[in-house]
Amino acid sequence: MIGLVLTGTMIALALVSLVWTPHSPTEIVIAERLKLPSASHWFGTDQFGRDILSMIMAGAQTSIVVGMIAVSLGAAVGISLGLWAAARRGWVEDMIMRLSDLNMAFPVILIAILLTAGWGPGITNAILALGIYNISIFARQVRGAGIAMWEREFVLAARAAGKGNLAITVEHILPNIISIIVVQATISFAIAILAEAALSYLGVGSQPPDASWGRMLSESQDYIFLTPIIAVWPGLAIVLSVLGLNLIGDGLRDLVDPRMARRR
Amino acid sequence: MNQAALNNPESSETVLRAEGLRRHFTLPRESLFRPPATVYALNGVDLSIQRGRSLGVVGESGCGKSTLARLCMALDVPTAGRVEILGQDLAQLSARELRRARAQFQMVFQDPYGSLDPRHTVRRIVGETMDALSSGGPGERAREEAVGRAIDAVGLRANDLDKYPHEFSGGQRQRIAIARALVTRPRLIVADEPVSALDVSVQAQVLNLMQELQHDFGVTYMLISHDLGVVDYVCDEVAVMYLGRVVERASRRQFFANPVHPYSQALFDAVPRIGAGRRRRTTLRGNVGSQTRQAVGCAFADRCPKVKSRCAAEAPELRRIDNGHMASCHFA
Repeated sequence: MIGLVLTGTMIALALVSLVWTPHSPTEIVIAERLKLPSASHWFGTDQFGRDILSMIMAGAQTSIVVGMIAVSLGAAVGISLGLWAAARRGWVEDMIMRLSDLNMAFPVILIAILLTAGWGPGITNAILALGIYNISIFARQVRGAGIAMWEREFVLAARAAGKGNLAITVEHILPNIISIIVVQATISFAIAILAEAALSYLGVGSQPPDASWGRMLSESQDYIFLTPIIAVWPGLAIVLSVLGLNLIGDGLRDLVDPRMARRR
Repeated sequence: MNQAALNNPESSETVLRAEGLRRHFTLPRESLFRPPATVYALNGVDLSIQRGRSLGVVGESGCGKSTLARLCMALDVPTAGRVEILGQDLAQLSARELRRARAQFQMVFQDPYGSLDPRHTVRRIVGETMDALSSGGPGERAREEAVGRAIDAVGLRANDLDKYPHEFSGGQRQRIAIARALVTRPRLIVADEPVSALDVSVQAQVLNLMQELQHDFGVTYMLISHDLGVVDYVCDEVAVMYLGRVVERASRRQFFANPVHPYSQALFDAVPRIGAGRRRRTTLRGNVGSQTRQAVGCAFADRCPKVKSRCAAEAPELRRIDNGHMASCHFA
């Protein structure tokens, strides 16, 4: 429930920022720089006099877009590979798993830096790096859970009913592991937000003037002894949205399980 | 159709025939320098069941009963030998023909908690088998009708169709599993320990149901069990398995009156009986012999209470003891 409120707030902020922000998140007013929270600037202003609330709102957009695309990319490719590995076993499984080992050997930051070295820094490369990183996470989870499902007797019953591997995968394996996938997706979403912040903090993520919580955090670092409050806002935004997503993941796991659903 | 089926009248049609069935599993390699071990799950099993009869297959855990069931259901491929259902060699069928043929033979599994997909409704579970009938599916109406009939035949109500398996008790679930096997009106149902996961009070209900269905639909059963009581209750014929072989084969009456193989006798003695008094029991020593080695002589020799020197040297053939009564023991 708290998870829904937190995540709902984040999404609401992002949506509202599409049409309205208290001030322009990019408007620089040097006279107003490093102001403490006030009636006109609720969260205060940063070193360039930009309104922090507006920047947080615009930053929520970035976080959501990055999280959505990175998780969708990772899930789409990862789930397919994982299901394939579980269904075919043998060399198919070995190949997919060794590739995923290789993928996992590169931390997400390194992938991002590699992509940045090749195509320059930018939000697209950050998303791509996170997506690639997510592929092996999903592939592993789905393969493990899928193999366990393939051992179940109802799969044998489906084969006795003349179902092929593809039909069994779609009708029996996938529906039975969907709860694991949903939980993984919310957690991956949270990790993606965190990672985007980290990448932007390091300068390989989104670039100015696009708003990003991670870059707000890194820029505020220089003024942390002057006005510590400006570092608190983006930090709080990151913590609360990650917490919210994790709580939702927890709640969803209970909800998608029909045994649990019927009991409430 | 094979020769036998053509020559014989309807009444003695052979529904299932297994010839020289072997299934060996290769274990994962443990050492680079030794060849990987092989599990000899089935070592040449011959069986046949006539239409409308029910054959009970008994034996302790690990004797190859379930492997036999899977081979008969074309869920696994034999290492050697063949399975014929209604005179049709399963190995000769193309994947497509096999799909269609599956309507003729169905299986009831041991664990009614594991054999029903928890995310499917009863309607979907029972209907799933219908899809095998033809490549285009049976059509919505026909499917719905057949599902309704099957669910009615096993004593469940029509409003149970939209429920999920977890809403039923073990006995009811096994009824659903039987309905699923029944929906295509198969000629053969292989039931692998269909009641051993159920409470004793429910076992009789399910067994009675299976008997009724046999009467109503004329299905042929192969019932796998380790419980002699269940076999006595339901089956017309009995096959006793030990380490991947059939060691005794008889009609129910012959078998329960006079089990001749020492292993069958030991099985009988292992059944606790009220009022049996201090009758001498033959209790088997040791465990089931190794499945990874093939014995030269009789596979049962190392545990047999009647073992003689001949048993270690020479493997006994399954030979005729009496009319329709076969056993593989030198001294039976």
